[in-house]
Amino acid sequence: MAFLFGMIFGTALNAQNETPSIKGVVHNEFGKPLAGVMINSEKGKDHAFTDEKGEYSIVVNDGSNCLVFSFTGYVNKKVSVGEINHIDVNLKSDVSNPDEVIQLGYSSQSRDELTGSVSTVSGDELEKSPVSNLSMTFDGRLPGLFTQETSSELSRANTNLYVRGQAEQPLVVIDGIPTSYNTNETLDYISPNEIQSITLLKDAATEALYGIQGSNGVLVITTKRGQTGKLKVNARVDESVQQVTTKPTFINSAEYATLRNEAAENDGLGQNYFYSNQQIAAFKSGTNPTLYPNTNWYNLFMKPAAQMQRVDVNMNGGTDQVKYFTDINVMNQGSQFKTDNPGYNSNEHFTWANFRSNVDAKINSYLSGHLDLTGNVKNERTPGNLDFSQTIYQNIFLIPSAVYGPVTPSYIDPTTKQQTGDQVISTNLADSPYGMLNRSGYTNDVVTNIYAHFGLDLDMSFLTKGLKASGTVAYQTNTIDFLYNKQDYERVVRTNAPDTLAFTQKGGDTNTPLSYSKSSSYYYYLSYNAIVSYDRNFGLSHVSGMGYTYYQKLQSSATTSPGLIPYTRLHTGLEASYDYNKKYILRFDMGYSGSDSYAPGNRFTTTPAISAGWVASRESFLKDINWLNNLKLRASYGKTANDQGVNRFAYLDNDTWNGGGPIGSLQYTVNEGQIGNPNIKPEISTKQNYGIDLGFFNQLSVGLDVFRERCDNMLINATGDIPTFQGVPLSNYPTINGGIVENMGYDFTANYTKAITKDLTVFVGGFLSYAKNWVIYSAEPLKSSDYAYRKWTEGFSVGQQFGYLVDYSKGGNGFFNSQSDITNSKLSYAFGTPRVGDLKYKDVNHDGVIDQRDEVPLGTGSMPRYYYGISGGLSYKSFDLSFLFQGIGEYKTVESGWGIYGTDYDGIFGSLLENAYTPTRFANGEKITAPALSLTTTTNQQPSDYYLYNRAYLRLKNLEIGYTLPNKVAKAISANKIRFTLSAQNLVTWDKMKSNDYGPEGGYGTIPVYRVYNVGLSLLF
Amino acid sequence: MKKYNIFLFLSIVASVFFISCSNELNLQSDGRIDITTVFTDRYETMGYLNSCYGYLPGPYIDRASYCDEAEDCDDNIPGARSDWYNGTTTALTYASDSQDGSPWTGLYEGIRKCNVFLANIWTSTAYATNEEKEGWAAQAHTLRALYYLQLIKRYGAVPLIDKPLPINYDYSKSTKSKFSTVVTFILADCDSALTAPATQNGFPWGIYNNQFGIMSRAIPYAIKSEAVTYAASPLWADGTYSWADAMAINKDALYQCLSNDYSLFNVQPINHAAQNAYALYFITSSNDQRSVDKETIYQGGGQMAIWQYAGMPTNLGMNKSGPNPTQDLVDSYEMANGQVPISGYSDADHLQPIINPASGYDPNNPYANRDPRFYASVYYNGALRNLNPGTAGMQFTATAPFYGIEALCPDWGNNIGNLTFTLYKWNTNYATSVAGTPIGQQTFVNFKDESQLGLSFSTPLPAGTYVWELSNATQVVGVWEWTDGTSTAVSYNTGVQLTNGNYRSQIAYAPNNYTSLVSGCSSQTPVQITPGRTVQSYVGGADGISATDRTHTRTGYYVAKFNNYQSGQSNSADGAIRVFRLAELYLNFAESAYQAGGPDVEVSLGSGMTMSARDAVDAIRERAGMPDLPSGMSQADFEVRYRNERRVELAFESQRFFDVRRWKILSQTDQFVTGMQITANGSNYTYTRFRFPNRNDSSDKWLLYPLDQSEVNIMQGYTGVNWQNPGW
Repeated sequence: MAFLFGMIFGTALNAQNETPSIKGVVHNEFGKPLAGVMINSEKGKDHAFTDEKGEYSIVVNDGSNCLVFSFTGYVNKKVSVGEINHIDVNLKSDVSNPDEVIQLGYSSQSRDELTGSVSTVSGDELEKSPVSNLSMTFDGRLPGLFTQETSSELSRANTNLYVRGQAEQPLVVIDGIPTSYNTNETLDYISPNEIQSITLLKDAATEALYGIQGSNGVLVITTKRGQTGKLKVNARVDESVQQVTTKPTFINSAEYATLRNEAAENDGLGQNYFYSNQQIAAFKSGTNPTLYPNTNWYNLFMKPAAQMQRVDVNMNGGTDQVKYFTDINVMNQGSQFKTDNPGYNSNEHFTWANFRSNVDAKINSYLSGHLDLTGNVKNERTPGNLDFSQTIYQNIFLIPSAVYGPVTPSYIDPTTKQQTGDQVISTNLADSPYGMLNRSGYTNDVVTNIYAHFGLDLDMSFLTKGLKASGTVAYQTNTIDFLYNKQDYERVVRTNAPDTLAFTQKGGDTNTPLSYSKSSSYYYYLSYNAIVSYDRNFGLSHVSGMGYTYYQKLQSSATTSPGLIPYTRLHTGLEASYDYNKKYILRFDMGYSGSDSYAPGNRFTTTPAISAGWVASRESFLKDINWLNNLKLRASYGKTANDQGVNRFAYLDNDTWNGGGPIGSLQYTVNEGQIGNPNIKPEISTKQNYGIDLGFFNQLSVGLDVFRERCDNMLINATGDIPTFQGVPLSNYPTINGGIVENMGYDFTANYTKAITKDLTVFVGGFLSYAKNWVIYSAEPLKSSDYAYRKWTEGFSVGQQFGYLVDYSKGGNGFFNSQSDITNSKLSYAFGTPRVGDLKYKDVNHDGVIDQRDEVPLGTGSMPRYYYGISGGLSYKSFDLSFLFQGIGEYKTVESGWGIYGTDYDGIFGSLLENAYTPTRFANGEKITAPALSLTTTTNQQPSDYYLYNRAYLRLKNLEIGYTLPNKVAKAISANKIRFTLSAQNLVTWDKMKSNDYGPEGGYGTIPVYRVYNVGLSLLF
Repeated sequence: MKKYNIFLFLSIVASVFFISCSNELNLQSDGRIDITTVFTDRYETMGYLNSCYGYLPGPYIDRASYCDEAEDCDDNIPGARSDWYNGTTTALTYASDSQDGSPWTGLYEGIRKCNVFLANIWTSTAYATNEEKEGWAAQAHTLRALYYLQLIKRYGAVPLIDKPLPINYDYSKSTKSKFSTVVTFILADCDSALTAPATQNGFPWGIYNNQFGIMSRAIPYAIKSEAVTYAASPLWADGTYSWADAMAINKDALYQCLSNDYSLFNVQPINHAAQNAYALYFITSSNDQRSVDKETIYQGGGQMAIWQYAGMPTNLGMNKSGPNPTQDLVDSYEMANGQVPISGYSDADHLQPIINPASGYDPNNPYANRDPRFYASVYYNGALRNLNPGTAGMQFTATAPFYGIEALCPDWGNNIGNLTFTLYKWNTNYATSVAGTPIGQQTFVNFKDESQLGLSFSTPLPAGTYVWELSNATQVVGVWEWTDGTSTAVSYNTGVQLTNGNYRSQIAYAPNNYTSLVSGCSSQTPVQITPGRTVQSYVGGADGISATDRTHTRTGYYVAKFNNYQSGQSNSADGAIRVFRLAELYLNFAESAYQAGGPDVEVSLGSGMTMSARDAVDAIRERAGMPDLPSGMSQADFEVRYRNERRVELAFESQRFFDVRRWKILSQTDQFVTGMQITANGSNYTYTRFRFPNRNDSSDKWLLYPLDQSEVNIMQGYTGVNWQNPGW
């Protein structure tokens, strides 16, 4: 290693240019200079880029006769060099991007040679989103990728990624190295500023190579690398304000008391069961807030907004010998909570810093190398326990506004002369967020993540032209150090005497001093990758091939067996492609991969795929059609595999023998665990993809990919058809490869860009993805014939919910409106007795009993069927504007629980419950938005279409307005470019939710999605 | 040529790399054992037997809330209790709503363990004597019988599995065996266990060191007794087991236990540890040597925290009041004279009791003179919370006639409660002295700091030895103690003699001329006198009834059984429920004997021991301190008294829930329950009975647990037969 460094710096210092350089300017059709155009020598060894004025300078000393100019959105242009040393070039735009190089992880391909199905996005595009987590920037930008924000905590959001439907969590390949452990977190260690491009691999042709890790899709992340030329410094400063997009309706104490009384009255407990009319009047008047408070717990603990600051500085430059890209990114996240402990600060606070240094060095004419170093330090402080924020947030809603709080009044004890009181008030059923925020202490954790990547590339053209070999070693180590400084506190509950403010202690907790403790977690992996590739043109024929071997040893952060046993994977793969005149393309891919998860006989899995493409627009009979600049057909067919979701060492029995056990004198105990299935194999999905790409007038590109996937050996567990009376716990019963599931859909994309004048360019584009899966076989037992639906899984989408239909027949309002209504219906409910104002369910099987047998499929399963993104914008002189709309469609789920039923804890009332059914409200013909309230579980608390919420939405995801200061202003501070941006994330959401208590993601008590307003300044030197 | 050599070299390097990495994929040993070799090793075999234990669903106080013993404090909160009362529990939610979840799966796991053990133990090559193997097999047989008994008392007919099933077993021929068939199997398992030698290494009567919880010889007898009593009961009687069959098994079980050192616990509590022997039993843990508790056959239940989860709001750190005893249960306790206080109700709502005038029951003082088990089981308004309130006493000798005597009390803060000062003549020892008639007594209300509490007499008392006592504190108050007193006086703290000091006290030999009885002190310390508190469950009382607050009672009562009054945040001293105890064997015998012959028919148990049904019930009553039942009752009259006796004796022990089911009286007993609202007018109380809303958990479907719906669906698929219990 030291030797290599020596060589890098040695050659860097000795870099000298002897050959005269070629210079020139690159323009577009309107004569506008283009910055960032890449200029390559034909033989591919010399590179240069244009600057802000479109000027370039390149030295060609690899003997090439031509220069190739390439730029995203434009057709490549090849120019002969000869003896000329000044070449000006005009590039012709083409929104189809035929010459774009698509990164496929282990290899790359130009777009017009592509036979598989991929989506791409550039880092510049992701930078528009002022959010801290990389995975939050993907929404609406990658056709075929559905993202679901499962937790929205500031700067610690978790986003699940699904490729073409159900397949969760694609394999992430970062600069050629697969990352499959803690991928969500690993993604968040990267900032968009470091990213050159992201490619999503979606079909067998592109995934097969990844073997048992390929089936869930592959996200290929390519980071930025140094470019030959002068040092360029790019600095960016962002200041963001974050606020929640939704907040549950506040129910004031008078209303709360009324609703509780109403619930008790519905239950037959009489009027004013909890509160007298005088008490309610006292709540309403607010004149005695001590005895009759109206506590807005949300406002007590939540600020209107939080703030985040980010600074990013990156530098890039280099010579032919050494090129470098370095980036440093620092983020500071404030909290949305309010804390008031005078002794210590327990409020949330996160500081993240990450850096990257990618260095490429050319050691000699056939050997080059690279060393990439990435590091992250995250310093986080959270109140109480780690991951407490969600709990704190949800507990805000567990305590009614009629409860005095947050602490008991403090006073000086006349005897002891000590300050007393100030105890945390909770209810008998719920803990107050106050204690969690201010009396639980805090946790500091520091995450240190180091990712190092070292590789050598050997040009073996001395053996045969076009042969290359490369080897890479990658290492990631991640340490989290937790320092807990915690304490406990006494909780009190107000006595049920309404006329005095008195409290009794709740539970056995007492005030304790802060005490320190510590723990840590650690993981690492070490990967080796070797690739041999071959690429050569024979006349009009182009042949390329690649083979790789990859070995990874991973130590997870698990501290118990079998998770603590290092994971090992060994993959190999082959790829061969042939094309004739870029017209007919044929390609073969095969993965041969194995892991220690499988028995020796089943350890390795072969995943072959074949694909072909036909660029019809290059055929002579289409070549002369002016308006059609691209027509290409693609097809792929092959197998991919997945090794996730299976227990560790599922092929082995797991029985152990320990000391101890119930009877002391027997001394030992045998613990029988999982029963092994030696035949367990990875799940294999057979995937087909058919695509068509069209380009018109060089301005409009349209693509459609249709896919169908089938897994015939899906893992299923014993819960389906093994009765428990056989005595082996079902969780120990062997998993088998027995299920069948299918998935199909399409991705449609369209992009239009037009430069209208020299100064005005407009673009608009978007995608629509559709995916629908259904379970064909899952060993589901057939229910008896009196069930309306005898199967609840097979034949339905994964995660299909079942429930009752509300009976609106004969002009009914869906409720029982009187006792005689109930009697006349002649229905008996298996889960209780309906009251007046309860939901009337449809007796689907006509047996007079409402029970499970009447349940019908509700909603659309666990995944939305449609998701889409629409983006667009324009640039006019110094201004630019872009927008991104994003949404999902055909997604309905049955809601339950907090805020919906109104019975949890001391009554959690969502806004719909304000107009719950009462006989009076019905008689007056008033609006009714919920069944009759109750204190306990009612017959309404069953899944039914009454609570079927449409979770489809359309969101203005991102809006950015930029203004670039005039050049002379920039020059005044020696900058090349100064740009201001105003941007916003999640600005507006249009949804069809039945109430505004929460948005289409999450639920009543989950931290909602945040809206972000951002002001940014970027400087280029 | 050279090129090809390089290719060849590269391929060889690649293959070697691949092969060596490929070997890396094998799992190195991580401590797994092979189940097929367990029975070749002595300790692994013992370990396997040990793993057969632990599948018994533990009995728990909360089951009382699921029958007429209690109304739960969570009846208004959505969840298990209210679902149950509302009848919203379904086969899908039963597991989360019922007291012990759905024990089906767990019990069958235990049964499989026993099956595996029994299938392998006789072919085992592990080192063990034949006696040991017989003993181990006996434990496995007993456990299997115990698990099947738990299954059938909950689910009725169940599949009878007596050997381990292979992974690919064909379930299409599986059937459920009816209750009596399983009982036959249980009896056979117990008999197999009892063939093992009754030696320490075999299957002994005794429980030895480090064997707490082990299956011992009394357990199969108890299992047989309960199984056959259930099988002869109305819900399950199908002609297979008559009451005579049941009596034959029950008398043998009782006889075997009585002849092998089992007897009803009758240890009288010392130092006010509990109300009586019956109460003490339930806060005494059964131990592995059986040195004190000779009644428990199998404890099974874990130690509970009654004070916390079925406690009173005045107990710091309590969580909820849990199951609140109902008025119906309170009514079932007889008077101490053996008379039934309430013979029934004149109204459908059970608000108008029919009072037995001969009993002496006073509806305006309803808790006086009841069965001692009432005081041990239920906390009622006015019940003592602290059985051992503190006292300070001092024995002194007056050398001459005296005019006054005083004790000195320190500063405990302002206006600190009340204390009673009493003077007695000394008689033999402290306890008998203070049990005598007071010579003088005065209660000091809100006495001041540094007070001198005492009595003065216009006519002097004669010289002699006396004792004064401070008692009935209403708050924590006390008296000064001098550390190095040299006087001849002797001081007592709550009856216990002080060793290195005496209370500050003074005597007046002339009117108003006090001299200290204790001399020569440099430092003094205050000694606390702890108050004797009573339960205040009247409306507005500290433990007052509330319809909404789960820390307060719903019914006016709290559970006292299993509760040690000294339990609290820093002292967990509550008891555990016994799965089998000798009293149940007496009762099982009595039930089968009166059903088979009649209440007074003498039955020979064996070797000269005879007993009638009434004798067996009386044995239970005697321990409780209750008079015998009258002889000559009809079978029907005796049944009423017997069922009441069983209800009272086994209250809160998870028995009533199953008894009302097997007697098929659930629809009569569990329609609704009542409570007592008590209002205070000064020191008088008004007692008003009230009823709770109807419960929807008493129809016939509630006689049995439902099977898990998933199990029903699976078996429907295999057999085409609906395995679900009726109504679910």
